[in-house]
Amino acid sequence: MFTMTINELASRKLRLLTTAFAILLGVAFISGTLIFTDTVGATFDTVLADVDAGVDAYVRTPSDINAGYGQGPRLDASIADTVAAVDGVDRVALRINGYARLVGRDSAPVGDITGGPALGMNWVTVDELNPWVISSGRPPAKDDEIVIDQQSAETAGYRPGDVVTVLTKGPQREFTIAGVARFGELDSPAGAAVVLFTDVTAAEVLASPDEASAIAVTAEDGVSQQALATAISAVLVSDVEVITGAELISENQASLAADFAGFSTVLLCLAMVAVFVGAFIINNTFSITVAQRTRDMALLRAVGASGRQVQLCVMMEAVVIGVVASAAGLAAGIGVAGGLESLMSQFGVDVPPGPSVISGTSLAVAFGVGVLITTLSAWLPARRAAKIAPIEAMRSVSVDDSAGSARRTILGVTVSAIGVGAVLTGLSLDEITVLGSGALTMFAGVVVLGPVLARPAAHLLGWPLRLRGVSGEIATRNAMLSPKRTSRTAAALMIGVALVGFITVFASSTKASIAGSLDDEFVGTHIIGDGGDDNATGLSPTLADQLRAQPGVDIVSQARLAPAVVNGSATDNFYAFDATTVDSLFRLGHVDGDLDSLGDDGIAVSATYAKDNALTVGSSVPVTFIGSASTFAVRAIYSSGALWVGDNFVDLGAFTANGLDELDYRIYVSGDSEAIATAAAADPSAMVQDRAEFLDSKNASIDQILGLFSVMLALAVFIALLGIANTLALSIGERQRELGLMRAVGMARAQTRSMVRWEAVIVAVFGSILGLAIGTFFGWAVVQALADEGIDTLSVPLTPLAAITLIAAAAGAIAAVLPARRAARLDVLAALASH
Amino acid sequence: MTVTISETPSRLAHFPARSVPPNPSPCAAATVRNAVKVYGKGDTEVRALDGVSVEFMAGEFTAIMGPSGSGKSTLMHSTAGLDQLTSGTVLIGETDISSLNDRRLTQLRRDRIGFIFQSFNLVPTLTAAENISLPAKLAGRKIDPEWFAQAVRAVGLEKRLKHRPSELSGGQQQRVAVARALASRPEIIFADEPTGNLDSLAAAEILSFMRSAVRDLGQTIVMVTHDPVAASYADRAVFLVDGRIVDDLDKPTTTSVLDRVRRLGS
Repeated sequence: MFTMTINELASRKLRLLTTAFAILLGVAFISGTLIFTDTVGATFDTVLADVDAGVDAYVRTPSDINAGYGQGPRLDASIADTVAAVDGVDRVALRINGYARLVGRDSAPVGDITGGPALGMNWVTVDELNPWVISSGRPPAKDDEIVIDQQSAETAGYRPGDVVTVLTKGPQREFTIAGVARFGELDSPAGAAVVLFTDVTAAEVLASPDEASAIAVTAEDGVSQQALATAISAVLVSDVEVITGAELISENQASLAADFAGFSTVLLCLAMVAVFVGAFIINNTFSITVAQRTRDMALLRAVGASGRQVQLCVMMEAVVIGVVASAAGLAAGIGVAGGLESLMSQFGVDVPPGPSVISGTSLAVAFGVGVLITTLSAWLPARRAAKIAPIEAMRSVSVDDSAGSARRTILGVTVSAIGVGAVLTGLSLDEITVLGSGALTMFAGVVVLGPVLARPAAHLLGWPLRLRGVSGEIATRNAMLSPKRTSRTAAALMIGVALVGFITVFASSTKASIAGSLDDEFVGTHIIGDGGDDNATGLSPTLADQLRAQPGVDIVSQARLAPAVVNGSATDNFYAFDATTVDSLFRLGHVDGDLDSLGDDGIAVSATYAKDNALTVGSSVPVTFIGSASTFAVRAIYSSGALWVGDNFVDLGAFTANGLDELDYRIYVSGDSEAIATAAAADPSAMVQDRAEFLDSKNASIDQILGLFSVMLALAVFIALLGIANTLALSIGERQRELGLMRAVGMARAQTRSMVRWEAVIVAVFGSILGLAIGTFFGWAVVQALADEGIDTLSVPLTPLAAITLIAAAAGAIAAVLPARRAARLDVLAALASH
Repeated sequence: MTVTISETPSRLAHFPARSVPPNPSPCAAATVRNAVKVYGKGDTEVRALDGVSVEFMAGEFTAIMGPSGSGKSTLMHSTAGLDQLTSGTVLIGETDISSLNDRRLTQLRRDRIGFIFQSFNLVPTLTAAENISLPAKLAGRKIDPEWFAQAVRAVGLEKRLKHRPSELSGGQQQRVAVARALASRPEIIFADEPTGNLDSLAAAEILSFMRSAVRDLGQTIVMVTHDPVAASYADRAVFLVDGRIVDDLDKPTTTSVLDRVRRLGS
């Protein structure tokens, strides 16, 4: 039996190749992602272990909140003296982190804030405790000297001796660059732009005098890390914690791994989409070839093979394809990993040189998925093969032209309805798993319904083609001939297009919602930011003061942002506003209570939030910040504007009172353009945007994400196109005599080609319309779900969706190029004589 | 088992004639000169046609006969522009087809030649009517409705026009093929064992349609067959053996053809 499998495969090299290619790409993407994640993880693990290798114990303020690159919890710098006196402590050094941004020669900040954060640190004078290594110049000796990271130095063209401006939370200051340093083996940690100050300056400009972020300690010879940590914590008060150097390293490694986990999860999901699409193609190919080989298989049965043996024979074929393709996919995966690495460096994150980590587990997972998917996809066709009766050897093979039975219609509608129901339930319950399985169920339902829809759809889509003459007409007939085949081929394309359609609708709805709320809820004239979109950086509050002092600037409201745990749930974006002016810049709708009375212990909440959490004016809301915790009293409840001010916010004073850095995330302003520009000119990091520019930049960043996902999903679409090519090639093999006949009675080669092409176009358009319908539904559902968060306007962008359909049609035509050429080059006589 | 057709009233009585009048002055619809067709090389060389020269007269129904492997199909295919000769010349009317590229050749087949094959004559996804008008549609022309109606009537297909090939019997399918060949009013129709897959009754029907087309309309038909009965419908039978014409029989009858075949066989 196995020999037969091999012979069969060997005789159909082209089919083997295209089918295998579909799986190969998916496996390559999976293994590439895994190898890349492993490699990056291992490399950064090494770096992180190296830079803190000298740390034996680490003293810091514990916090439940991950501040990311933003301000972490601080501690009293004088603790360092207490620690230094502990037995077993050799050396002690403060670590001070905060916001600092180097200004380049062009008066613009150095480094792309969306790529890597801007950080300020102190230059640690104890060599064992200093992660930095001077590459040129020397360490800062005076308080007006700094060291900058190698990457920033190269980007800005700065050298030791240059005098530069540095932005911090206070007024900007001039410093002399004493030296340039590297972070262990890296030019900069994770693409950050770093400025290193002396201890004194660092405390002053990054934190507050007498404050530090942490204290790093080395042990005397013979003292273990554990013993040292225990000894230090024994002398310290309870609000600081002591961990060993080993713990610090593994914590940093874990946090980096968590950062990468999101990235690699997205990549893996996209890879799985590709594999899923590949599964359709394999299933379709096997379905068609089993049908085409009915006579051979019936003959096998007639001469004594059991149904099981026939089934096994088909399954073996799938296993061989799966194994070969997956093995090749693993090899290609190494290349994909390299591609991802250069993609990362495009985003400013250089992966340090190091050997690729190719772990057995990763390879086994990717390989296993490939083989499993191939085998599973061939399972149904193989079972069908097992059921072939010996008598069918005597019959002529006919194409399975059955379409929609009533049973299929009912089943398809039911499954789709269940899927829709699950999506809606998942949305209302906020359960991503229910939502996801609902989406998958919907796909399944539409796949079941496909054959019912295929014939009428092809008929309809082919209608305009009839004007293009007989090739369009016959193409339509061919697309209608086998609804199952057509719908399976289209379904593979549907998946990718559905996802592209979904993100297109979602992006467009987000844009429309932002535009809508800008119109409806923002009454100011300008928005000033620093280009960043999180709490990692900010604008010095000096800018807000200058704006207030500037004639022609009417209203100024600062917004600050901090990670916090509000009423029990963690958020990265907890807002503080200038409570007295915020309602002059935003239409907050009906306000219960009084915003002006917020003070340092009051909180304003949105009506929706109040309702969901059963809050009324006077209720208390506990909030935990990075270094402290407070309870706020609800003093105001507003009915709109949540997209701008969040579900809840406090006054700026509350942030200051809780020890948060005084850095503004944004400044919302109302006033004269020139006056605002004049005031903002003093701050190089200030990015002033009027309403239209703000909208443009928002749209641009949405488009960028949309573009990135579309590119990733293009792989799934590409695989689906391989499927179209494959199906066409198989159909052409089946229709040899028909083609020969048409050529004989006068069909020109060009007409033959266009016939095949039009069929591909019909299938592609059918698949993409199905996909867009599903994608639009997903978009609608998600907009429903996110209405609370301000994405409340559904926008179905007809032009892009039409463009997607056109691209799919064009891509279908391209996929048809080879099969069409093959059909056109058929030898007429040989085709006529074929069976 | 001869079915005489003279009693059958011709359905083609009102079929408008092509430019070629009935019983024309002998001019050749297709001319083959020194046709040589060689397959393979060296030891495996097979000369399917070994210097054949023949003219197929306009308005004549010619049967090409011969045992299998005699080269009769090759002769037809080469004459019809489906196959290329190793050497020699084929003229359709006055057109030398050996000089035509694929596009011209396809146009020639579409516009000037009709085909009736042994089986699988029809495009399965098209109805009978669509199959009949296929060559016209391929040419981007509207088929003359009168021509179409008469071609259909000629083969008695009025009630089957909307049927797909799979819904038609073998005989009906061949009638559609004949109608298709007639409907485009070609200069010459090539039929390749058109009755090979039919029972004798259906075969007789098809053959009489073909003969009527020649007699009443001046259509030119060249038919490859190995069936002496089929050949008896023709005006002339050409006998091929080993790639050479060995005999040429006017007004063949079943008996005379059988006699030739027997003699050639011995």
